[in-house]
Amino acid sequence: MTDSQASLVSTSKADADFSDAGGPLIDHLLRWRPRLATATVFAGLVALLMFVCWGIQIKYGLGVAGINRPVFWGFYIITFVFWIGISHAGTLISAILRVTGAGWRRPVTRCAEAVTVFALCVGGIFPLIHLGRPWVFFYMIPYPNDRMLWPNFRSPLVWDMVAITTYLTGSLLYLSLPLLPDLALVRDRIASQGGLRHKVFSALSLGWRGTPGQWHGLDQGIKILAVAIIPVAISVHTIVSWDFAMTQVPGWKSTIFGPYFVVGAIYSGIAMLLIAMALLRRGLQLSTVLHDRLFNNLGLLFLAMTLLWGYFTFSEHLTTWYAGDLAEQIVHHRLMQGGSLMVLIAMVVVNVVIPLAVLPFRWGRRPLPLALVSCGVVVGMWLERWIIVVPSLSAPRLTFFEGSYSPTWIEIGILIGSAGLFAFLYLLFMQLLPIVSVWEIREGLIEDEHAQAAEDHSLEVAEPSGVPDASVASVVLATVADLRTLQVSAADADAKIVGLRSSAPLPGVTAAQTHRRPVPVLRFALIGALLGGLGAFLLASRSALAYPLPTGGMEIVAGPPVAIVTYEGTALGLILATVFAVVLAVRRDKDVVVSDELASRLATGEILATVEAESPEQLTMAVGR
Amino acid sequence: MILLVGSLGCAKSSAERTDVQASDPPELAAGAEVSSAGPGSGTQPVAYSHAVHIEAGLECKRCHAGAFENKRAGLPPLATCISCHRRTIPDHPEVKKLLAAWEAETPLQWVKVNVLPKASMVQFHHAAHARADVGCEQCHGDVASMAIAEPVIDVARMGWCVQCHRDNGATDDCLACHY
Amino acid sequence: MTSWGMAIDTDRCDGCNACVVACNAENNIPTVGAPEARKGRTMHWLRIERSVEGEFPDAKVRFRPVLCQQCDHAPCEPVCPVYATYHNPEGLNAMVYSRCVGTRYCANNCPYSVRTFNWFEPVFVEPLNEQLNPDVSVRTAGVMEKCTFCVQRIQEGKQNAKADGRAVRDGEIQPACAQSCPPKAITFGDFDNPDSAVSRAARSDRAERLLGDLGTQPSVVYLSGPADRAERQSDD
Repeated sequence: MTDSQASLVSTSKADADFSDAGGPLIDHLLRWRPRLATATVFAGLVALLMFVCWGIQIKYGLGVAGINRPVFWGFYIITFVFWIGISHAGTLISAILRVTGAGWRRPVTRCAEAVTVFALCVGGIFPLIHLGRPWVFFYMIPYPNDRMLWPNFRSPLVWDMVAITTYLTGSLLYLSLPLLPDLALVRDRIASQGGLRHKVFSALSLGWRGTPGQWHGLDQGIKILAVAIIPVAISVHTIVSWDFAMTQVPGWKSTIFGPYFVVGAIYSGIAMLLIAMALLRRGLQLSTVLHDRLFNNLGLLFLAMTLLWGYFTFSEHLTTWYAGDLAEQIVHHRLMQGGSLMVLIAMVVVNVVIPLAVLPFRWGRRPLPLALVSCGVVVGMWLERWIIVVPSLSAPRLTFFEGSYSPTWIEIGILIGSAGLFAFLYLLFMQLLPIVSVWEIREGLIEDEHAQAAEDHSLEVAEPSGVPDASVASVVLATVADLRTLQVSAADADAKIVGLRSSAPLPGVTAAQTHRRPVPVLRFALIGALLGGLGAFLLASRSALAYPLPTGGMEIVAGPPVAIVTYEGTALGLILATVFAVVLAVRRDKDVVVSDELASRLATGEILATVEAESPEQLTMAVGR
Repeated sequence: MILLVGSLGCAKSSAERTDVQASDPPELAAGAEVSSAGPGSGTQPVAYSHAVHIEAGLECKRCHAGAFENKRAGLPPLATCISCHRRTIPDHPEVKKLLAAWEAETPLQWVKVNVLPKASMVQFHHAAHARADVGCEQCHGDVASMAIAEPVIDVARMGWCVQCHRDNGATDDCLACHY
Repeated sequence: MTSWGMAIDTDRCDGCNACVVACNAENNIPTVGAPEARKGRTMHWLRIERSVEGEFPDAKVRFRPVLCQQCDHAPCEPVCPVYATYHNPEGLNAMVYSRCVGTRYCANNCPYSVRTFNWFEPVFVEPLNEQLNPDVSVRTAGVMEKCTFCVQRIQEGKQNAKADGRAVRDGEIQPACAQSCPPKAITFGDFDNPDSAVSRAARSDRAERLLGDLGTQPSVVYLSGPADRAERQSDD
């Protein structure tokens, strides 16, 4: 870690004036930023456009959109796939980087996860906008009902719903869990102010104290979630691709669609992430945290995705061009003429040509060029979905219907509005909650420091050593090395460290050292996975039999759909149980015995320890006084 | 047939979101007109008592002519009433209304009591149920004790239909009713 | 069991469109007006496709009425998330309007493009609103619809037969298109009855199924080809 970072997240006692601690990472939450606020209000107004247009559509009918026969799917499905695609960078990148232990990830994880959550929130609305009768969307949810009907688990749309629900839940929790220590940090910083904001942060941080038990639970939880969320993310966009690939529509029936969509999703997701990071860096003056190396690394990943996406796109179109299937030939032919060809060329230029001309070079991987290339890729990936959806539907097998499609202002309004909604949610998040993970950056600093030789510090006894019969003392420690010293001296004096709080996990300190058994998060997770999988299996395989619909020759229950639903259910169960276990670990230590008056010093990165001894003499000996 | 249907009327379930429009079939448009006067006995053109007529020995099909024959049981046209009431208690104030309407050649605008909501997009074959020995009271309640016929079953509740069909081994194919 | 099916003799069809009009009248199908029709939003459940066979001057125009093929292995059915479209025990590809949420997935997956969508609340201009068929529900905005093989007539026919205590006779039930076809090009009946007219037509070597190689197993067969071949068939 660089020096400039160290100054942002102070760990040295010299910076004990904690009004500066946490630096701009937290400060911006406590300050009024007129420009950001204006941008938020503006984005909110744009988002309103989406709901106004949707309202008009609900009132007058879906016909106000440009979709028609045979192009039954248009802007809404394109934009749905687009936003679900955008959601794929955040959580996936964050999870992969966490699993592989890439240190440079620390400043980027949270803003990436936020991209995922908000893109999913926006994308999740689109299937509803797309529905002819959105007010009966609940017909798609399996629940015991008076009509004695059940959804059709064979439909890829039901898989979609299950997968996106799992992914949204998982991503939201994966964003929220690592937020706890930082919420507590803000809570402690504004403890003196009191008021509503303090109450809200107290409630949100769930009683986080930073004890070894809590850190252990969180660490376990994040590791498990990171592993679990990767297959979920991949399954989500694969299933979105199956909405197309499961059909017999020429141009859609393709085995390559699964990986093609996943790659495209990650590609567009990284692009959106880079834009968000570049804006954050400027907007919140975070150039020292979101540093150049980060952009460089992500730029390389971006370049790799460019190549992968280009490869898939070429293969996809090559096979249709070569195979000679008549129906597919017609689709291909339509794609290669008129407006479609223009869209295709534009897509290739912004998605392949420009990135390949910029990204291989070091200057191209600096924030500004990256952000510009990313803007092109975001647009290009939207065009890619147009290329997938519209030409195929325009050329049905019976040529009686020659399809064409052009959107109306309702559809365009909803598209623009959705971008506004995404920006609004993101801007709101970055003003209300820490957008960069303070504790993870600090964890990195502590690890670096820990690797260096231990320095000699004198311990600061904060209280209540002056009272003669006191047997408990709170000690403020600057570094982990100091903690080691304290542990040794306490052991010599026959005293015990009964409480420990820190604003980042301490290397080598386990929950066991405070004499409490850690919550077995992994065991919870596995049981949850088992229950979730079993529940989903029964839901998909048995529940439909309780609602026996006459379906002619078609069997109600089939293997592959059951497998898909079970897969998602397993992941959902695992995620929920993990979070449950972590919350358990957090709540168990919420009353841990370290003075709350000192808590604000945690914000400076110091460690608070409580030492208990049988006599004041022993205590004095233990704490080195 | 169409004229008869036109006179049936059809109250609209407020639970269903689709508004009555100019495009609606005539029976719906007529129903909306009548029911706009407000629900309850006041909306029927004359204060007809089922209890009195059944006590007098009239069978259901005497007035609801299609009950065992047709898809629709039907509501009696004015002529059915007049066939008896021309001589039976012609001085009763309500019967006077009938006779006046007969003279003026204006049909009775009965308000249908058991209404399948339009948004359910469902069909009901009355004769099929009557012929299958489904008792009248199973759906209509004890009409003999009703001064004014009232719905006893929420016919918009599909589960009630399906349960009865399954209990009695009748078809549970969606297409049997939904077309 | 019953398996409803249809045979359409395209050698007899002269493209008069009587079936299209009859279908519209029978099934309360709204007309949408020119601007909507231009967007491809016509609602016809039955359309007549025209193709030219041979080169001028030996060209011959062939008409093919295309309606829902009531596939036994229908691509529209498995993709519906709510079972709004499913296969009924009598081989009909059912469309339950009140269950439909309007994803339009079925329409995309129909290789015959016979499914239509209610983009708006249907409008029946005077005096069309006076001639709606009370036995067929008027569909609301946002639901799919398509040819039902005039299921209201099938249900009525079955009820009549049941009341008389007999089986449904071949030819007793006729959809509006078959009933109104002047050259009698359309035959309707039960495929499970080997003696029904439609079964006999389906066994003819003039019979073919539309896009048969897709494996959709349509319940509609199209008859075409030299008449003498048909005669040979009937001689056998």
